[in-house]
Amino acid sequence: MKLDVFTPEDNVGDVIGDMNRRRGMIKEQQRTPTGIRVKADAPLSDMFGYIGDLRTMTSGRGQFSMEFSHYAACPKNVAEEVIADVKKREEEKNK
Amino acid sequence: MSDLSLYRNIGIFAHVDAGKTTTTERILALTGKIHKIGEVHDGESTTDFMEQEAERGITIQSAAVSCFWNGADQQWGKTPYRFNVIDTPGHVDFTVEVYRSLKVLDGGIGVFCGSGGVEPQSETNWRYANESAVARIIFVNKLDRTGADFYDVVDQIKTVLAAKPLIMVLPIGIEDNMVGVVDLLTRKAWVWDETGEPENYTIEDVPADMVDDVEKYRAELIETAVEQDDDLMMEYLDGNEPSLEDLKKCIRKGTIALDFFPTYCGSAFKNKGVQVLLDAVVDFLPSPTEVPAQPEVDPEGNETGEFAIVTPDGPLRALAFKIMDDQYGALTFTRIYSGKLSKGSTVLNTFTGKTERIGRIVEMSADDRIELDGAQAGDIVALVGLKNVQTGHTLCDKEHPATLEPMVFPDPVISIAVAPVDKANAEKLGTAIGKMVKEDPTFIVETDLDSGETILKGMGELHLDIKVDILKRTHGCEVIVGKPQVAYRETITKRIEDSYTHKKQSGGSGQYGKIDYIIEPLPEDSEEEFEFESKVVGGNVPKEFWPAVEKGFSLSKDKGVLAGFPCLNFKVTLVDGAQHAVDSSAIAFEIQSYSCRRCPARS
Repeated sequence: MKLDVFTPEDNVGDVIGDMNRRRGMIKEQQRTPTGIRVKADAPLSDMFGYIGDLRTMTSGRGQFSMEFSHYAACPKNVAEEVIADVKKREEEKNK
Repeated sequence: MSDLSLYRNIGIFAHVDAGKTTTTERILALTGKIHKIGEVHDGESTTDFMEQEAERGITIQSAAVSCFWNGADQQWGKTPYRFNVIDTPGHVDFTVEVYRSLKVLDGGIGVFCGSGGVEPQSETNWRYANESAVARIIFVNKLDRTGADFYDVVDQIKTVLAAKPLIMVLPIGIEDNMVGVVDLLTRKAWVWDETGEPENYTIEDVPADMVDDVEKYRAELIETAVEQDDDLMMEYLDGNEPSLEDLKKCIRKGTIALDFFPTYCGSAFKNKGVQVLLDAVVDFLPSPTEVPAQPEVDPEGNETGEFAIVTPDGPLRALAFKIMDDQYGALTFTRIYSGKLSKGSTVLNTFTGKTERIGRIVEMSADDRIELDGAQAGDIVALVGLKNVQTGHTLCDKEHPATLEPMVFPDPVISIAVAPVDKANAEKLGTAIGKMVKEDPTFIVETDLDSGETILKGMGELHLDIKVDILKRTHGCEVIVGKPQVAYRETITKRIEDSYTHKKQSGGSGQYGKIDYIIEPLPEDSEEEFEFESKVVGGNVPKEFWPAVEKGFSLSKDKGVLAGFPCLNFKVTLVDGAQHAVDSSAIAFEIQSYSCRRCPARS
């Protein structure tokens, strides 16, 4: 996903740290008069609940938007998890 | 048809609690009322007034409302200004809708809470407005509230929003003692009495204890304003004060250029300062002809270099920006950029490529709707009974098609499954979703073929959250919501060569087909999601069966072998095969290549 995160200057560190935890790749940082704009790529599967976390980190001032950018191969452990999950659901359906 | 310079298309945006609704209500009450009084010269009782107020409170929900303003002093009594007030959605999570609302606006009023100051939501809205370069004036509201501080809010606007507020009025008194405002330009004090009626004000001299402040801020105001005009600046430096007219011209110029934002204050709830604000809308916000023309785009969103210049003489270009359902049927709110729209005419919807007949055109006014025979460039009107028009569609002249907004929306990335709790809700769900899909082009609904579940697809978690909330609250539809799902894709990583034989010759018409093929990954940056090629020579697999083979493969790619997600980024090459003189048929090859789908699993 292509992310465009806006954060007040005081919270940039937290936002970037959090982005790294979400397997995000920071592409660009832009200083605007009202804060910092961080552009990044991150997998959607790790972005669930992001708005809540972002608001917590920035005292409600942060904002972000994301849109689809491209597909990328996911790490093996994630892939295995997804496949196992689907298999489990299918088994349940077939019962 | 009226003069376009008498139009003001404005929006009001603010933090949820800043008093956006109250201000909009007051503007409508004031304009509607004065419009009426201008005709009837009849006062209305306070209770009556409040009841209508409540009624108008509901009307405001309806996206765009038209009203007329002939000035606090009736100074424009003969040529009242027409305001089209648009309610910008407070919730910025509807990115598409906020952007679109800002697009159809020419100017805005940013309302700030006098005690809360610049709140997160006002900050976000402000940023959106900056991106769309919408000229704004600022209204610092709620100065009657405990803890209100006009000067503090102005400071916050400077520091948090990095905007340049241009103080135009000063409050007289604060909190409970707030009685009115001083207009810096004219050095007149507007003082309202205790009745709370908006018309009960007197124009007085500046209170003695405020003279110093007024002079100080007035000097600042003039200094900032004359920066817009070098000649006036020189004159001012020579000690000559520019005339009121020249100053207003400068302020108008600077406001439209977004150099500064004229700042007003008052209390909408107590009816103080709203007239001054309305005069400012007329004086400083741009008319439809003064904003940069809307660029036209081709259907993919690339600018064509043409612009929809606001003039009634051009070919018709109009943008549908909001669909609303009420007791009379669907209303399509439309901003006309150029040309004329008349009742009974036929227009082209560039998105569907179909023509639509314009049935009724109505103008939403404070109390009711007024039927119109036609509308022209600069107008915001509602069209009744358009069936196939959705938010964001462009309506235009059949002979001169154009698109105002790209119709390419990003693919949805998140999906959740919803199921109605019982049968009664199932019906409601169907109709509700139909309506919602019409309103938001980024919201897609599908039915899962395997499970029969209704799948909602959207741009983000929050987007879907809100959709589910609308389902529950607006449409009263109780649903069970599944966990969000990521739209994963599968692909293959290794080239393989394989062969498959489909044989069914045990009675009835037989099926036979054999193919040898290669499956290989496409380069990562490839445009195509799936490619098919046939290299068969010598007629082992006759040419007429190739499309069947391709169809079989492309059917099988929709459900990958790993976890059932669609596959992409691979290429199939048919190299050889075999057929049976009698039993081979297109369908046999199709089934056969569909059956091969187990093969990619090996890679």
